[in-house]
Amino acid sequence: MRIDSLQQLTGGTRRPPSLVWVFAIGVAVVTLIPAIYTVIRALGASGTSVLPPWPLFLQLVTNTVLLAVASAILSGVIGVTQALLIERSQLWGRTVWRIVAALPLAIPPYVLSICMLALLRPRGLVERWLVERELVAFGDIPFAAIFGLPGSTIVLAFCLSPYIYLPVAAVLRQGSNHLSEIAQISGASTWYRLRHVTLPLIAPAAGGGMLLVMLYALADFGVPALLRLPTFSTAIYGRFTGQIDREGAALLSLPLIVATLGLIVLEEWLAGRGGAQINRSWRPRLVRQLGWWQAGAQLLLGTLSVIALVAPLGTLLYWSWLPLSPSEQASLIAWPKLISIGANNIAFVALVATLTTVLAITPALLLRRGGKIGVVVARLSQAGYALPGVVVALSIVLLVNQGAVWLAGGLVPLVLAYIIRFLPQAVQSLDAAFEQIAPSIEEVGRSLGQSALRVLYRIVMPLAAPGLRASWALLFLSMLKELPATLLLRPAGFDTLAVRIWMPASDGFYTAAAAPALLLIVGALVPVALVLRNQYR
Amino acid sequence: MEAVVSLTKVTRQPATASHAIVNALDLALYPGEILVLLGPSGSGKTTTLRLIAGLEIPDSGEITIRGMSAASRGKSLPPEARRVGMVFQDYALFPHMSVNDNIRFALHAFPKHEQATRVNEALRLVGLNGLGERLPHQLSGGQQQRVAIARALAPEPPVILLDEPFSNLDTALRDHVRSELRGILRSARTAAIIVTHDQAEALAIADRIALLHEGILHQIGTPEELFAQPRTRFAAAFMGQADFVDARWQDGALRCELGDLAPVGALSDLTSTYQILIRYDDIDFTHAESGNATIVERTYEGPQYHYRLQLASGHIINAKQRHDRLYGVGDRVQVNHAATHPLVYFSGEHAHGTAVPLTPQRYDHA
Repeated sequence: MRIDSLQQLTGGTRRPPSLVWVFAIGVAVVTLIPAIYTVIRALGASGTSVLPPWPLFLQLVTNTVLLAVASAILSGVIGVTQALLIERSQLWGRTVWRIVAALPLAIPPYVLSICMLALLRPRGLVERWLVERELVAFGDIPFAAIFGLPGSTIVLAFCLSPYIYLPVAAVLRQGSNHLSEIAQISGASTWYRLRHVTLPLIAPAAGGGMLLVMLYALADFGVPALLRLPTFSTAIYGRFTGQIDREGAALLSLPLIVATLGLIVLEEWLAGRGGAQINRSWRPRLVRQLGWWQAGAQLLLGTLSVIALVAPLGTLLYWSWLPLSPSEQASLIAWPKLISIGANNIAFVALVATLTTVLAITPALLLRRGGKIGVVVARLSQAGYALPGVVVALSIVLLVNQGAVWLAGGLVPLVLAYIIRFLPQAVQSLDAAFEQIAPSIEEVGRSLGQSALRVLYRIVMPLAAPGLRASWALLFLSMLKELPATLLLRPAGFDTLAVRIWMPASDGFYTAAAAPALLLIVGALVPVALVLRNQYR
Repeated sequence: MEAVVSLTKVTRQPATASHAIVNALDLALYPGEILVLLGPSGSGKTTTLRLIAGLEIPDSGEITIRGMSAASRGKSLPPEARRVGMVFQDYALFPHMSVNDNIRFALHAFPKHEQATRVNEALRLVGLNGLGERLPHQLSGGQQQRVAIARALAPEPPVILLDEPFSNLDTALRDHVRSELRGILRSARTAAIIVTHDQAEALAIADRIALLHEGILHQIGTPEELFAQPRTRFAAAFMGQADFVDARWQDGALRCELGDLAPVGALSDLTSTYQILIRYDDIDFTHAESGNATIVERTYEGPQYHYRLQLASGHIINAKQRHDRLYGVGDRVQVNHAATHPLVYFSGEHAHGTAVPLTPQRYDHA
């Protein structure tokens, strides 16, 4: 006689207690409703006049897809090169380079865009400097090339390279791989070993990171908007604010949702295909002697960090010291007010990040211990993965207009948007943290007479705490940098640093964006430090 | 005597498995005894342990603990309700808690004022008093294991389950830890089920051994019974070095290459060929020009040499000699029965009876 199969489908003996199920289902419902509603409204949109004309639509598709793919590839190249040089070669100043490679996390892509525009646009700082020294004339160098796809790709690739660098470096740090040693003994050259042993080893981590970059690039709003690349996100935002064409915005959201879902499925499939071999016994790394190449490596890493860090930070600092013209002064905010905005912003984001982390605990638990039904509930709570920031904001506004007026109160829509948008990320990293705990630890706890609930909070939570902290740090960073949903959903009088950067910059007043940008980067340094601490524990 | 734990026709077959991991198992554990579940990997012994602990649910059959039903007909008591202590192979000590807190975790059902005393008692029982404030990573492997045992024994459960408790220790430590464990279990008067794949461990520590193979119980009995009177060829080979020599009934005796034997009791079939179970202490050999065997291999083991002898029939049997009685590969020897006790004979997979050598001979080496 078979034991009740419902019990097996919900995880058998490892099944989390009912309280966990109740919370997780609640979270899933909350995150799912806006997503479903957007799709319903989109499908119900009538008339082809709502859609943009076909050539424009095609351009949107091309731009969005190319941006996503090109950013991912370039980002992958940067991240993997950094990881290989830092973890698998005799690099000088390795500790410093480790920090430098992760620092782009603190710089929002739209900030890098602003700096790049200021420096490299026609009649920007660089051209003017060259002309003043009579090295070139205006128009000689095609600075206009930075607009559109090239500039957007470069910005996103450099800003998002930590998404690839961090996991690949983690894999390479595991220690010498037996396969690599055997290959070396058999006389294989370094390039051969790289291609046939190391690259397959890091492929899952690099692939996962590149998919994350693609998801981000698909959804990003700030960069294509500033660099004048029409993508789905900018088009949706435009319909939202310019023409107040909500149905059109919803309709445009559909392709984005489909593409994002496809990428998520791809990511799941990749993750399931056997990870890297982890060497359980520690052995010193097989590091490549660099010799003369040391100079080249330092130069390469230096160039990358100049582009990603030194140039933007330098520009921002330069602007902070610059005397301003009256029109620029007008859009400037006094430092005390700016610091107060910054402090509020950080406090708000810290609270919401904490709330989201707490909410993510129950779905994360269900993901691995809840059997087949648990997986479904957990994945449903990650519906927000499929909704870029702009679309999340849109769906909440649609719901509010339909009568869910109680949602419209103050900060609630914004908090909701942040939760829906970033909960999936939290569930994913919490899941990784929980997986570190051996099942026998929980089993022994229960065999000692403690209920599953007590084992969860007395044993599992304390042990997962470092992972929880790192997950919170990444959430904090993402929320601090968030732009489109904040622009659309913030109540009157509520400012964030991101908004204070965007407003002047989108009007061309770059210098006014410098102070809030610096403040944001400073605020982001603590979480980045937390992430680094977790990585190199 | 009332069994502490009893399993009746317990079967477990996960959906992903092609056959049952535990197949209609009947087992009983009596108060105060040490029962060893012995078998090769995949025999279902760890699964059986987990079924008793409540970490897995049987597909059919019944499990009772202390007379109360723990699992039957669709209902299964969760692990926390079963009062069964368990020691995992990786010890599973809570890394973020001190030794004292690890043990105290098990005593949550006892009144607070008693807990400290019980913790100290448990530590004294395993010989670790004074180490209470240490964290698990500050202890050696052997010490961690003792903490795991102390934690399982602290709430005085009727039975404690141990999964391969010695496999993580180095060989030099094992004998010592083994006899210590037996002493601890006797002092605590707790019944125990120990899972292992090592027959030498089983022989050393068990009151009774249950031999499992592919989910089925082959034989259950005292270590002496399993070693000297195995009921199947698998059991014979698993319990220790086993060789089988053909024997036929001829002229009033069971004749084999090593000598004649007298069957105890009647032979069921006078015409078939039987296989006599020979272990290396049952035979002896000496140099002989016209002997019945040749030495084909010799391995040094320290106190003795291990020899492989080839008989006229082509069969190879194993024997040992003290290190000061040296024989060379290729030497011709005379080998015959030396045992004065009954030897088991088999027909096919199963034991049919025993027979006593008629002319056992131990060679007096000068």
